Amino acid sequence: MWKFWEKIVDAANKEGALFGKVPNKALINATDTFFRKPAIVTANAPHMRDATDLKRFIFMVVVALLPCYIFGTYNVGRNAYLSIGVTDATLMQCTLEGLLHVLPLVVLTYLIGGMWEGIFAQVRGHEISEGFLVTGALMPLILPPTLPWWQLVLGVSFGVVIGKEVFGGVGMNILNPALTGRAFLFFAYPAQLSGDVWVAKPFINGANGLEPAAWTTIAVEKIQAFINGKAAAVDGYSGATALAKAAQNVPGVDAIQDLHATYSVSDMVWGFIPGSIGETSIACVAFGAFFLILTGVGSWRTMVGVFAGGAAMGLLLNGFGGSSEVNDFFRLPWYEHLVMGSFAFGAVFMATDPVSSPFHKTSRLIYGFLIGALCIIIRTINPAYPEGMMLAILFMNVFSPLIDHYVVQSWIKRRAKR
Amino acid sequence: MEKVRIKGGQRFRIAHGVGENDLGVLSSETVGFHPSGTKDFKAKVVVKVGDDVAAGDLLFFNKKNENHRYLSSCSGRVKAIEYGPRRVLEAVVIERSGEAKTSFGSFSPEQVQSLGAEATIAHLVKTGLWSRFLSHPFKRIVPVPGEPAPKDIHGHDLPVPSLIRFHVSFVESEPHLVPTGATLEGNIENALLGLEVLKRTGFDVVAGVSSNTDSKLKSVSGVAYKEVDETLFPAGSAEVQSYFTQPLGAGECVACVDLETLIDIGHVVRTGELRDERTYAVAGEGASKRGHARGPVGLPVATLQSASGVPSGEATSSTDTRLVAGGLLRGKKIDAKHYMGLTETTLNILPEDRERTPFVFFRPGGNRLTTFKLWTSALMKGKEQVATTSNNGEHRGCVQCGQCIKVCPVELMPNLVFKAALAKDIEKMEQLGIRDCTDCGLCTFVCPSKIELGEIVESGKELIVKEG
Repeated sequence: MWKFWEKIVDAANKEGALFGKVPNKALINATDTFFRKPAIVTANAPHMRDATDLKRFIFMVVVALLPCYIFGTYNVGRNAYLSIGVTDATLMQCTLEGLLHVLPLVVLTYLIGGMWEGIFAQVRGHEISEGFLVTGALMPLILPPTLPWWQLVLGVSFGVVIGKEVFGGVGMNILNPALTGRAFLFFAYPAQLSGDVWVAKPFINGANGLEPAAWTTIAVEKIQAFINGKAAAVDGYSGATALAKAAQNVPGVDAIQDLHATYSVSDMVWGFIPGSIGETSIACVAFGAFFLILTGVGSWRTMVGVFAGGAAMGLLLNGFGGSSEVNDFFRLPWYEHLVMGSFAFGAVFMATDPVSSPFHKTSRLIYGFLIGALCIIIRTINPAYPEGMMLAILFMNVFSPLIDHYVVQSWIKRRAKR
Repeated sequence: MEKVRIKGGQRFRIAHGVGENDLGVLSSETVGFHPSGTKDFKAKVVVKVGDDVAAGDLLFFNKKNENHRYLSSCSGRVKAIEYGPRRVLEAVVIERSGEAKTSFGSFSPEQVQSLGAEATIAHLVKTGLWSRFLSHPFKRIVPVPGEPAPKDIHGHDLPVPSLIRFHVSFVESEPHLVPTGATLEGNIENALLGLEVLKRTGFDVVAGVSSNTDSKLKSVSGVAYKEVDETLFPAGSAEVQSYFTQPLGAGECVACVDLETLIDIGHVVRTGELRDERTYAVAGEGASKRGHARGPVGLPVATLQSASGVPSGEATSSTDTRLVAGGLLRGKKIDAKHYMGLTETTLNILPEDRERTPFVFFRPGGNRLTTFKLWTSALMKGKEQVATTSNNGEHRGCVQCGQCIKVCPVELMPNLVFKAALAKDIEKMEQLGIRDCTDCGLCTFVCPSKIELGEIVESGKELIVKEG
C-alpha cells in the first residue's frame, strides 16, 4: 500500500505534474508527511533529535478537545429536542441530531481553513504547517450551533488569513486565529452571536415526536440553514445562554434569580445548557485541562492565572454587589463566573495557545490573571457584550509581548547583577 | 566540596553506549595529525612529504599565531599531507617507524613546585599543549598571557580576552563518550601532575568531579572542586561548571582543559616526552562490538571501525551509515578515510534513519527518545531508548513551547537568543547572555519545530568575535 502511495507522491513531486509549470509540492507533501514520518536526517550535531515534532504537539490539543466534541455534539442535539418540547430523546438520538449540526461545521472549517493554508503554502513555497489542525478543531467549538454556514466560511477565512497568514503563518501570529475569526463574526453578525437564541432547530422532527424526517426534508432544511442559520424560535422555551440571562436588564426582574431558576450550577458544570458547541461542559474542559497539563502542552500557569484573575475580580464585584441597584450581575457568586460561558474553555484551550501568549513562566501568570480579571469586567460592566472571554484573551494577546518584554528586562537586570 | 545544582539539562538513557567492554590495544602503521577543526587555526605545515620526523618535532603551526604549535607525537616518515576544501589541513599522515624522540626536559614533582608562572606557560607553549586549551566563551585557543593582540583587516588591535581560570572536568555526562574511568586508568599520576602544572601558571584551577571520581583526584590542595551529577547532561561539561563557579565579566574567558590534554601535560612534564596514547571508544547502533580501547594519537577512523566489528573493507562512510567523532550531541561527522582528533576520541557508528514510519504521531510511542511528556515512553524513565539520526519532523516556525528554556543548563532563554542571532543584534545577544551558552546542543535536540538553534546561536557568537 505504501509503495502505491509512494508512486503517487513521486509523480506529484515531479516539477509541474498537476498544473503545468506551477510546483504543487506543498499539498501533496503535507499529506505525505501527515501519514508518514519525513525521511529527513539531522544535518549536524546534535545527531539525534527529540521524537516530538509540531504534529504530535498539536495533535495532543486535538486529543484534549475530544471530550468537548463528544459532549458538545450530544448537548446540541439534546437542547434542540428540548426546544421543541421533546424530553425523552435517547443518548443516541441526541448525538445523531447533534452530529447533523456539528459535523458540517467541522468539515467546513477544515475544508476552508485547509484551502487557505494550502494556498499560502503554495505561494510562499514552504510546507503546510500543522497549526491549522488545532485552529480548525477549536473554531467550531466556540461557535453557536445555530451559525449559518456562510458565516462560518467567512469567520474561518478571516481567522486564518488575517489572524495568522498575513503575519507569516504558524508561530508568527499575534492573535489567536480561532478567536480572531470568532471576533470577526461577533462584530459583523451580532444577531447570530449575541447568545440570545443559541439552540438549533432539530432536523429530525417528525409529527410524532422523534420520527426522522424524510431525507428530502432534511436537505431542504439544510439549504435553508445555510442561508438563514438554524435558530429555533419555539414558544415557551428560551434558548438563551446562562450569560445572556445573567446580563439581562429587565426592570423588576432579578437577573440572578432568573438565571438560577433556569440553570443550576450543576447544570453549568456538567454542561446541559445552551451555549457554544464546546464550551458548556466544565467537566469536559477539566479533562482537557488535566490532559494538557499532564502532557505539558498547555501551561498550568496560564490556566491558574486566568482562574485566579476571574475569582479575584468576581469577589471584588461581589463586595460592591450588595448595595448595587444598577447591575444584578455584580451579585453573581464569584465561583459561578468561572463555570459560566466560555470562561473555562477559554482559560484552558485559548489562553494557553503558546504562540499568542507570552513564553516566560512569570509573564504567563500575569497574562492569565489579567485575562481572568478583564473577562469578568467585560461581562459585568459592559452591557453590549454578554461574554468577555474572547475579547479579554484577544486584548491580552496584544499585550503579551509587552509583558514578556518587561519580565525579560528584569531578568536581564538580575542576571547582570550576579 | 561544593555541589552544583543544575535546573536544566537532561538525563539520557540511550542504548548502544560505550559500556564497560575493553577492546584491548589498537595499533596502526600510519597515523594522521590535524588541528581537530579548532576555530581560527590556519595550519602552516613545516614538514614535507618524505621527511623523517622524531616524536616532538613541529609539524605545523597557526599562521595567525605562532604560539599555536602542533608537534608530532610519534617518529616516522611523512607519508602524505592531505588538504580538504579551501586548503584546510585535513591530516599530516605519518608512517610510524623508529624511536627517535625530542626531549623537553623532565621535572620531578618537587621541581614542578618550584616552577615560575612564566616558565610553566612557556613550557606548555613550547610543547604545543597550550594550543589545546579552548576558551569559553567562543571556543578559541586561549591567548597566551602577554602575547600581542591580533589585528583586524584595518590593522587595529582586536580585543584579547583575559584568562581568569582553568577548568578541568573529571566527569563525562554526554551519552556515547569514552568513560572518564577508562581514560584515567593508569593515568591518574599524570593527571595529578597536570593539575599541579596548571596551578603553577598562576591561575585558579577548578575541577568538576562526581561521586564516582577517584578520591586522589578530589583532594589536590589549591584546586577548587565542583561536584556534579554525572547522570545529568551536560553537567560534565567544563563550560557548564564554569557557569556555576562564577559568572564571567566582559572580556574575560576561562580555559577548558580536556582530560586527555591534562594527562598529556603530566606526562610531558614527568618524562620530557610527548605522550603517544589515547583512550578510544566505539559506540552506536551500527557498531557490533562496543567498548573502549587504547591506541596511538591520530588513529585512523578505519582502525577503530574494524575494531568495532565492521569489516575494514567496507569501512567507508556511506549514505546509510554516519560516523561521528565525539558524542551524540556535540560530535562532528567524520569520514572513514580520516583520523581521530586529539580530543574527540569516541567513534559513534550510527545507521542513518530515513525510515518512513506510518502514522507516527498517532502512536503511543513507547520506544521514542523524548524530553516531552507526549509519548508513553515518558512514563518509562528507566528504559533505554535508541537514538536515531532521524530529524523526526520538518522545520517549522517557533511556537514558543518553552522546552528549550526548560532544558538549557545555564538558564538562558534560547528562544530569544536565537532570534537575536538571526537579527544579528549583538547588543541583544550579549544582554541575553549568549556568552554563557555552552554549545551543548540540548535546545536543538528538543525543539519540536526542528529549528537549528545551536547553529544559529553559533553564527551569532562568530559575529560577536568578528565584530570584536
